[in-house]
Amino acid sequence: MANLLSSQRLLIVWGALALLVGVFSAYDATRSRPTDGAVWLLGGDQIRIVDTEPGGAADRAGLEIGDIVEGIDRQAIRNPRHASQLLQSKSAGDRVPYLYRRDGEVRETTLTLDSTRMANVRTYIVYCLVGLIYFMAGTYIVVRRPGLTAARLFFVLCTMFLIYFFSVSERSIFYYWSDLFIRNMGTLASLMLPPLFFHFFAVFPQRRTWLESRPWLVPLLYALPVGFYLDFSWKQLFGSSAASINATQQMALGIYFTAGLASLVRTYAGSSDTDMRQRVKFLTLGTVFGTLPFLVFNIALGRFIGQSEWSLLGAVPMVLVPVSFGYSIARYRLMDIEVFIRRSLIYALLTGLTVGAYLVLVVLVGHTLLDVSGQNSQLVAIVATLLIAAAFAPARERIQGFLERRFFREKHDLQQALHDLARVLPHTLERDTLIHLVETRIHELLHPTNFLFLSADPDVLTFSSEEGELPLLHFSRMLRRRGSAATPEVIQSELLRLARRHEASRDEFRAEMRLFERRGTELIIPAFAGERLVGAIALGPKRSEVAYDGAEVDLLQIVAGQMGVQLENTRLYDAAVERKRLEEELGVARDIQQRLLPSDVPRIDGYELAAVNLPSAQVSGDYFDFVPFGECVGLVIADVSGKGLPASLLASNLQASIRALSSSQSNPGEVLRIVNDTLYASTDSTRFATAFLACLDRDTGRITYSNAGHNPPLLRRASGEVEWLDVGSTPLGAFPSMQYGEAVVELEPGDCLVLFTDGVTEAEDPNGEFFGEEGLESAIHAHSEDGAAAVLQGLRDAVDHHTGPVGAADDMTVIVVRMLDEKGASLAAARP
Amino acid sequence: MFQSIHRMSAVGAVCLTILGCSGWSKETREVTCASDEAYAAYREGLDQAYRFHPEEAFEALRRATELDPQFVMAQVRLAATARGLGRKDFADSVLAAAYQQREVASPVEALLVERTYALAQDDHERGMEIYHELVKLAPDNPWVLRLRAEEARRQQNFRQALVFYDRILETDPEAIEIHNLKGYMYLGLGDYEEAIRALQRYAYYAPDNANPHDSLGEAYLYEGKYELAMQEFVRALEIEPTFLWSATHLAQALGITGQFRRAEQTLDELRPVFEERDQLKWLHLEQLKLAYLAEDWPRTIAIAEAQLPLPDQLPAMDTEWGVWVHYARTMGYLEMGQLEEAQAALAKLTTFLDSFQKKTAIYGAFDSIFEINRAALRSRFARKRGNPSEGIDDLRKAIAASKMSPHELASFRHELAEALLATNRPAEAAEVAEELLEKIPTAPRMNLLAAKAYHEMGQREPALEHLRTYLEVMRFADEGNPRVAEATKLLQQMVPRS
Repeated sequence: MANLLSSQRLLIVWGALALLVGVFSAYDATRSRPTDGAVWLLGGDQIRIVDTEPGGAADRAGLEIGDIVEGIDRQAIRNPRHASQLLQSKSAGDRVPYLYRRDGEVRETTLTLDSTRMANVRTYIVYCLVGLIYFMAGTYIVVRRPGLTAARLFFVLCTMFLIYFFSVSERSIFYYWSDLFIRNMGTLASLMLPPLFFHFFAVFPQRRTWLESRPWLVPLLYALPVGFYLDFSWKQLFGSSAASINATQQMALGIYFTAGLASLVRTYAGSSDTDMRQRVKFLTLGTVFGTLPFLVFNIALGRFIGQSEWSLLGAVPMVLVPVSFGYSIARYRLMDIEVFIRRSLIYALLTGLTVGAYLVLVVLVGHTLLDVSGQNSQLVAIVATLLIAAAFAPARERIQGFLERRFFREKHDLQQALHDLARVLPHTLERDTLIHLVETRIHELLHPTNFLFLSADPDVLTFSSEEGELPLLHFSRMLRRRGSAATPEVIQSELLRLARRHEASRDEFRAEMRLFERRGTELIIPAFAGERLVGAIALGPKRSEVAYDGAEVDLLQIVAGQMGVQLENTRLYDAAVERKRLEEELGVARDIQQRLLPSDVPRIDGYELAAVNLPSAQVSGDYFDFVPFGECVGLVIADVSGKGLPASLLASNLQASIRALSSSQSNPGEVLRIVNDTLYASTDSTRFATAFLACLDRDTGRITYSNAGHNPPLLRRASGEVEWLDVGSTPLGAFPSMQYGEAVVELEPGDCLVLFTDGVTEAEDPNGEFFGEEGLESAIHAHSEDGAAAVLQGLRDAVDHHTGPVGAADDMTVIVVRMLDEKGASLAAARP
Repeated sequence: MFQSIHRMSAVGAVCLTILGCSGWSKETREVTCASDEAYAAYREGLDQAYRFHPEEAFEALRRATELDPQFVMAQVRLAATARGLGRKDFADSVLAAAYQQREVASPVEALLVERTYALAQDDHERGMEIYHELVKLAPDNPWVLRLRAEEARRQQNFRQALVFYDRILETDPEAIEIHNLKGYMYLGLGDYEEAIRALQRYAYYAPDNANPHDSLGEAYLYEGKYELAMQEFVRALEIEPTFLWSATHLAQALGITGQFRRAEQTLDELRPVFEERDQLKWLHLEQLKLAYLAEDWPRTIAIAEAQLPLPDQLPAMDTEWGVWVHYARTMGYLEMGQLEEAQAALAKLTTFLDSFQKKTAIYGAFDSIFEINRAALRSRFARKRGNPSEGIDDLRKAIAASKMSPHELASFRHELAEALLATNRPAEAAEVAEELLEKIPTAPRMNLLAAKAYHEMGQREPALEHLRTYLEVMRFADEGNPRVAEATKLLQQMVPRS
C-alpha cells in the first residue's frame, strides 16, 4: 500500500486497471450465458453442489445441496473445469440432462438452462452510477492534489468502491473464468474497503498521532484483509468448500468501518478550529449518513441475515460520500483544492442540462394540462406551451444563476475581492491597516504560503531582514522599468541583462535575488502611485501548489495598483497629519518661546540695552533673559538643542532654573554648575543647552560671566579692540559635575558687548558661506558709534544682507549692551 | 534492487502461469498418433462406439485412419467396429494393415495389435501369451486394464474385474461402456443396487440406444423390480423395436409375473425378426422358458423336442440354449410322470453337460455351474420318485459352493426349498426361501413357497406377508393361473371372511 500511495505512476496504472475491471464487469453482466443455477467448487475432482439459486434451473429440476453431478449433457464429467466447458458450449434455454448422485442413488434430471444476464438491470445501473461517481470524485481529487497522501488514499478508496459496485451483480455462478475473476475482484474490494476507509480517516482531515508515531501500524492494518483475500482466492480456485467471506471476517471488517467513522466524527467534534470544523462538517455528515445505511442494509441484513432485497437502500446513500467531498471542496476548498471548471465547458453542460430540464418540464406540464383539460387543438397546445415556457423562464434563470455562483466561485470570488477592496481601501488611511487588509484578503483568496510587503522609500524597495533594512536598488529599478508583476526568475533574467548592459556587478543582483529565493517568493507585484514605486507584494507559492494563473495575477496587479494609490494617499495623509502636528507643535513652541523672552529690555542708567529674538521657520530653543542677579543685572543668552516644542520646553526649564538660582546665587559659574547638574539629570544626552550668564554691576560696569559652551559674546572696546568672552566650560546638560569658571571684564564707556546665538554667525548666504564672527565684528565695528539699538539693527541688516532673500535658517538672538560715555565719570568715581 | 526483484518475480509469475495454463490445457493422449485431427476423430469414434452408434463410429474411425495411416489403434478399433457391422473382409484387411505396421506404435500398442490379430486367427493360446506380456509390460494401460478385467470376468472374479474397470474410469471417465460392464459385474456379484447405479449411468450416457435400457432392465429384473424392468425393456423396444434381447427379457419379466399371454405375444410379434436374423433358437429358448415357468409341461416338452437334435458342436454362446433344451425336456417328462422318457432326457442332458464342461475346462469357473445343475436334477428326480430327501444335501452343498448370483441361484434354491418342504422340513424350507428373499424380496415363486412353509409351521403372519407379496407381484397374471389360485386359496384359509 505504501508503494502504491507513493508512486504516481502506480496510482495511474491502478486507476486504469480498476476502471478496466469495472467496465469488464459491466460488460460481462450484460452478457447472456447459460447457467444451471448451481454453485459448485472448482477445486476438487468432483462436482458437489454447494448451493442452488432459488428458482434457478437446478432448483427447478430438483437438484439439491450435496448432490454430486456425474454427467452433463450425456457426457461423463472429468472435473469441474470440464463441466464448465460443457456448459459454456450450451445456450440459455437449452434442456440439458444431468446425471447426479444423492445418498448413493443415481438419478437423472433435465435442466433448462437460464441466462446469466443481469436480471435486475435497473438496480445494477444504480450501482454502477454510484461506483462511477466515486471514481470520478477520487480521480478529480488526486489529480488536483497528487502530492497529498490523503488524496491518494481517497483515490484508492474510490477505485475500490468502483470495483465493488460494478462487481455487485449478485452473481454466484462462477464456472466461467469471467465470473471467477469478477467475484474475486469484488471480494478484493469488499475486503480492502474497510481498512482503506479506516486508514483514510486516520490521516484525513487530521493525521492521528497514534499513526504518526507508529508508521508500522499501516501495513498491519492491511495484513488481515489481505490474508482473508488470499484465503478466499485459494478456496475459490482450489478449495473443496465454498469461498466466501464468513461472518467472523465480516465482523472484523465491520470494525474497520466503525473505527474509520469514529475517527472522522472525533476529528469533527474535537476540533477547536472553527475553520476546520466548517470544512469538515458536511464531509462528516455525508460520510456518516452515506455509510450507515450501507452497513445496515448491505452488511448486516444482506450478508449476515441474508436479506439482500434492501441492498439498494444501502448502496444509493453511499453516493453521499463523494458528493459531500465535492461540496466541501467547492464550498470550503477542502484539501485546498480549487474548483476550476472552464466557463465554456460548464456553460455547455449546465446550459444543456438546464435547458433540457426546462424543455422537458415545459413539455410535461403542457401535456399534463392538455390531458387534464381535454384540449386537443394544436393551437391551444402551442399557446399553452409558450405560456408555460414563459412562466418557467425566470425559474430557469435563477437556477442557472445559482449554479454559476457556485461553480464560478473562483471568478466570483475574484470579482468580489476586487469589489470589497475597492470599497474598503479608500477608507483605510493607516498604512499598517492597509497592508494587513490586503494581506488578509489575498490569503483568503489565494492561500499563498507567505506574503511580504516591501516598502519603497521612495522608489527603492527595502527588504527587512535580520541584517536590517536592505535597499534593493537594482531590483527596484527593474521593477520600475517593468511596471508589472513578474516571477523572480523573470526579474532575475532582466536584471542580469541589465547588468550586462551596465557592466554592473552581477553579484549585487544575485544578492538581491537570493533574498527572495530564501523566502521562496514565486510572484512579485509592484505597487505604483503614478510613476512612483511605492511598494511591492512578494508572494510565495499557493498552498495548493497550483501556479498563479492569469486571472489571479490580474487581480493581484489591480489590488497592488489600488494599494499603491492608497499607500500614497496614506503617506500624504500621514504627512499632512505630521505637518499639522508640527504646526501645532510649532505654535505651542513659539508661544512658549515668546513667553520666555522678556517683554521689555530693562533700563539701566549709564547703559543702553537692546535685545531681539528673530525666529526662523522652525522654532528653536533660543532665548535671552534679564534676571536680577544679586545686586547685578543678570544677562542670559542661551541656545537649547533641538527644535520645536521640546526645545522650547527645555528653554523654559532652563530659564526657570537660572532665574531661581540667580535669586540665591551671586556667581554665574556656580549657577551654571547647578543648572548643568540639574539639566544633566533630567534630560537625555541628546538634550543640552549652551548658555552665557553674565552679572553686570551697574555701578561699576564690571561684568562677571561664565560661558557654558555658548558662542563667546563679543566685547568691542571703544578703542576698537575686540574681546571674546569664552571663559566657562561645557554646554549645560552634556556632562555631569562640571565646574564653570568665571571671568570678569569691566566695561568702559563706549564699550559694546554683544551676546548672540549661533543663528547669527551661522547664517548662510546663497553660496553657503557663513556670516561668521568676522561678519559679526564687521557689523559691530560699522556701528561702533551708534547706540545699542542701532548696533542691533545694523547687525540684523548685515545678516539679512548676508543671507539674501532666503533668510536665516535658524533663530537669531542678540543682546547688545553699551556703556554710555557719560557713564564714565561716575564709574571713575565709583571704582577704587 | 527491490524493484528489480519485484519485476522479475512478476515476469516469472506470468510466465509460469502461461506455461501452467498451456500445460494444463493440453490434452494427454493415451495412443500414438501424429495428428490432432486424427486423434479427435478417433475419440469421436470411440464415443460413438460406446454409445452403440456403430455406423457413426465406423465413419469417425475410418476418418482417423485416413488422417493418420499409421494410427494402428484406430485401425484396430475400426476393424472391431467393421466386424460388428458384418464387414468381415474390410475388418480383416484393416487389421492386417495394423499388424504390418505395428512397429511404428508404442510397444504396448504393438502387442495389443498382435493379440487382436492372433485372436482373429483363433490362436487363443498366442492371445493368452501376449496378454501376460502386456500385463507385465503395462499393467495400468487402459487397454491392458480392459483385458485384465475381461480375464477376471472370465474367471468369474467379478470383484477384481470391477477394480480394473474403476481404474479405467479414473483415467478415462468417458469410457462409458465400462459402466455397462461394471453393471454386469455387480449383477454377477448379486449387488443389484450397485449394478443398477452403474447401468443407470450407462443409460444416461447412451440414452438413445436400446442396449443400456435393456441392461438396466435386466438389473431390475434380477433384483425383482419387475415393473421397472418391464419399463426399461419397453423403452429399449421403443428405441429399437427389433432389439431382440429386450423382447426376450420382457417376455421373461412377463412370465415371472404370470403374464404369459403377453409374453408370448411379445415374442410372436418379433418372430419375423428372429427368423430374419437366423436366431429362431433364441425365440424358442424363451418360449421354452415361458412354458417351463408356466408349468405347461406338454408345451415345454414340445418346444424342447422341436429343437432336437442339437448340433454336435455348439458354440459357447449357445450353451445356455443347449442346456435349456435338455433340461426343460427332462423336467417336462419328469413332471408329467414319464419317468423313462425323463431318464433318457436326463442322460442326454448329462452327456451334454459333461462334454461342455470339458470344453470350458480352460476357464475352470464353470464347473460349479455344471455341478449345481446336476445336483438340482438329482434332487428333482428323487422328489418325483417319492424320495425327496435324497439329493437335498448334494444340492445344498452345490448351492453353497456356487459363485452364481442370487437370481441365477433362485431356481436352484427353489428346488431345494421344494425338496425340504416335501420332506416335511418347512423350517428349513423357509430358511432357504428367506436366503433368496433377502436378496430378491419380490421373487414370486419363493414368496409362495415361503408362505406355504410358514403356514405349515403355523406361523400365520410371515405366511400372510409372503402371500401378499406374491399376490401383489402376480396381480397382472393371466386369469386361471394355478399358482395364483393356490395362493388365493391359501390366503382365504388363513384369513377367514368376517
